[in-house]
Amino acid sequence: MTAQQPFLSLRNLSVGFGPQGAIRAVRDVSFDLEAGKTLCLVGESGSGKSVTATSIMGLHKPGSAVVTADRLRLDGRDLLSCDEAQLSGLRGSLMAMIFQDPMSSLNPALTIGFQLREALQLHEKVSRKAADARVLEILQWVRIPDAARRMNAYPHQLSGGMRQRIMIAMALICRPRLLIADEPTTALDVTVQAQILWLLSELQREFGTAIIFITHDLGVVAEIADDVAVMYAGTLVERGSVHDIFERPSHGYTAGLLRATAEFVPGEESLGRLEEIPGNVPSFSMLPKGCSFVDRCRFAAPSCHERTPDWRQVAEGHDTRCDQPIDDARAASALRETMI
Amino acid sequence: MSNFVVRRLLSVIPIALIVLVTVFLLLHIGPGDPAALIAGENATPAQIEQIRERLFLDRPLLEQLFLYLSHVVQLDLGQSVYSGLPVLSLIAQRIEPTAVLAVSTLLLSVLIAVPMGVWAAWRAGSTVDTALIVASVLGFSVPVFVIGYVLVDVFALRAGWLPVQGYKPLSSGLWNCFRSIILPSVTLSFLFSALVARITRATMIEVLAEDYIRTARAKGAGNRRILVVHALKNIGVPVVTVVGTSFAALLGGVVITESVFNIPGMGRLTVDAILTRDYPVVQGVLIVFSFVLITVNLLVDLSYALFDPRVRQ
Amino acid sequence: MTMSPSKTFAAMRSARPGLAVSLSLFALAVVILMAIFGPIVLGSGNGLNPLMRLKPPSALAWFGTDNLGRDVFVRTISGARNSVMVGLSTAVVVLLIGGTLGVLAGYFKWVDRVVMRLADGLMAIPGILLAIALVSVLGGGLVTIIIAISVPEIPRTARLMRSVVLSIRELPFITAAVSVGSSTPKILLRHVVPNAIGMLSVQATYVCAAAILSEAALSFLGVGTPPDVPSWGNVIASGKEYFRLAPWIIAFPGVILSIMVLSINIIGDRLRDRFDPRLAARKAS
Repeated sequence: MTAQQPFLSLRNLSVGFGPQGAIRAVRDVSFDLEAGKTLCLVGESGSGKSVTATSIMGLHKPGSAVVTADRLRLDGRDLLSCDEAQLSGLRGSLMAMIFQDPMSSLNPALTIGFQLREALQLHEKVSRKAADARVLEILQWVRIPDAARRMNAYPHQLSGGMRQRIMIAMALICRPRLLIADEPTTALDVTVQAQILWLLSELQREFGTAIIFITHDLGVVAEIADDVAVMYAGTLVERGSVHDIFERPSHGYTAGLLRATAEFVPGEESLGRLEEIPGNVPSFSMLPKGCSFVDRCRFAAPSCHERTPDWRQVAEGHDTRCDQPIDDARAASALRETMI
Repeated sequence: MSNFVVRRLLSVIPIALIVLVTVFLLLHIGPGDPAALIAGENATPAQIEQIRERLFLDRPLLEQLFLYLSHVVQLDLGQSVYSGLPVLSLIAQRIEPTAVLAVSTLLLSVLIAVPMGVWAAWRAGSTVDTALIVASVLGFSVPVFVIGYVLVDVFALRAGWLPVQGYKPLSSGLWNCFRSIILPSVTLSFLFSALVARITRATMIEVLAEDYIRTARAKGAGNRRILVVHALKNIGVPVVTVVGTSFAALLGGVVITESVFNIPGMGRLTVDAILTRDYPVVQGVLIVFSFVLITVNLLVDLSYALFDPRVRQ
Repeated sequence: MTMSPSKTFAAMRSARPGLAVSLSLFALAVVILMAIFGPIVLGSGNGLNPLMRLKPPSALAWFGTDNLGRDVFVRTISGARNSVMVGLSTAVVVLLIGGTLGVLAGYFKWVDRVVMRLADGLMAIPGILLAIALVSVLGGGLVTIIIAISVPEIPRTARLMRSVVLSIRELPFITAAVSVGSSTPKILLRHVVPNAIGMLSVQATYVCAAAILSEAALSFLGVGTPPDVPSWGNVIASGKEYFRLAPWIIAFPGVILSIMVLSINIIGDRLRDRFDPRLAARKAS
């Protein structure tokens, strides 16, 4: 049953900016997410992760982005056919989002209590008193010390970690079934980061929320992901379970990302030499012909310059957008080369 | 909070002092004898001497300054050379039309300019936005008196809807007063609302691009709610600031508008005083105008606390 | 990564204002040519002609005549010379004095304290009133007018230049210059001033526009340029009493004055878009 009706399903989502959407920041992104699971959207900055997430929420400034897709369904609803008012009704209740910078994401002119209460009262008809009780409850749940007093505080009076908890509380107050977290820990200290991650997994266990977690930090991915989707230059290049992606990366880019991170050199017990991916991410206006990673790929074959690769299944639930998927033997030999 | 208020209140003192010294020095920076200057070309030496004594112009400069300041502190702005009446009571007689004109212009401009600026920012790049940009550049490029005469020509002379010139005091009835002040305050509003609308639009565009506006949308807040609850409070400080900094231009515009519409206010008093070389009156008017300006800017700064919780600490 | 909406709109708009700026430059050129050659060709326009009093525009007098029978067109043309001169001279005076004070205030603490206090005080007196008072004590004449209009403008310019210099001081190449031991005057002249020129030119346009308006306002109030020296404000003032009978005396110079100020402001806005470090920083982000 779940195979037919995934909780969230994207097929060929594309997003363009500028006149007539000419700058194609995201192209043909497809993935599914089951209820209660965590999908990590991984990639370098500028790869289109945030734009993808923003499109699911319908949060682009009206008129600024052209979003197209063959399918964009959440919980049985077609999000693409929703108008702004319908989307407003879903945002905050069915789906919610937290952002990278908790410093600028809270309104400096309004109290914490007001902003949280508003998030609740936009979607549920509750009295001021009942709303305050719910706000207090959720603040305690995200471990805000002295929560009752903090309700009258303004954002600038709180630390970064505290503000991100507030953001989480605000996103969760209506118990959304999808939470999109856009690099929520990047701006925070490492210790605070761990607390936030713990909080999110706690939340998932309690509410059964599905999470899309956007990050470029593979350490975080290893910790929280069920599934991983890797983005490169505006498109998805590989998706699969966290185990598949980390143990058997089949796209040259995924393999490169892992090799650039100390803990995850595939197939090696000890730490190998850290390696960078040669070259830079191409800009959207200058994508190479064929596979967009071709100029930086160590495994590129002549045919890779010719055609844009289609999805290809390498294992059950593990797909790659590569015509020359890496098998273990090739990876091992390539690795040996780099060790010399 | 109280710390901020006290500091701001104290900062008024040096500003006021510089204003008073400047106004005092005005008489002494010109070429020649101030007493002769005031007395006019046809004065006899005896008349000049009399003026010199009356205005303490025979004392050393520092003593004069001290005397001047001590009189001003006691709210004594001296007597008119021309009519002999106390300057303060002359100003009191003329203050009503000026105050009515300034306040109505202020209200009218803010009521027009803030919504227009917000609307233009919300639809940035649209025809409405372009129209507002054009209108606001026009607003502070076309001189007040040109706008004034155009409006008089259209609405008073041709259409006959409103009086051409003159001022009806509040005591003649609110409606009469209102009718007589419509054209002058609309005239002056062109300038003032242009300044306010420009800043409102620019700030609003910045605020709408802020992360917290995205957060509000992510919560499911609708457009109106985003504008009214989340954005408006955050444009408060810049908009109130521009009201304060443009208030000097408003007061200058009041003087010119009074001349166009023949309104017997403080602006006319100033111009008449200058034409009759009635310097104590000129000085008095300058002081009163400056103190109004200082007070307005003080209120503007204090109002920051209303909009920005960060100021309150 | 998401393209901010304001950036998109800025890009959309930047395609357009070419026309407005070109028109403004054209209008400016016409007025300046008028100011230079008009009086040579047409004379001062002070010739009285009692038979031609308050005549509406015609082939004989394009802009009509005033109450003394003077040709409003000729007077408007010759007024351009004085108005433009007041505008340009004021801009030069204000930029030299205000700019210097601002740069020094941005660099030396004690200058800063003195200059900014004085600026606060002077800015507390409404500019046009201060100018009126100054004209009345200094006596009439073009030089007096320029001084009177300059004094209230200087504090604002000093303040602006100070803030520009303060932000330039924070730039890495200044730190670099200091660390290799360049002297303060050298840093000021070599690095700070050249980088402030852009904003200075923006301010110049605004001061020039404001000065032309102020001159007109002073003349209109009857405390400006002497009546025998034609200027736009003056011509308009001469039509004040007759505006019901002869609106053209005010209309034509008024429109030309407005176009002139509008053009300068449009060019100023354009320059600011280019030079304002604050705007540039926002674009880069």
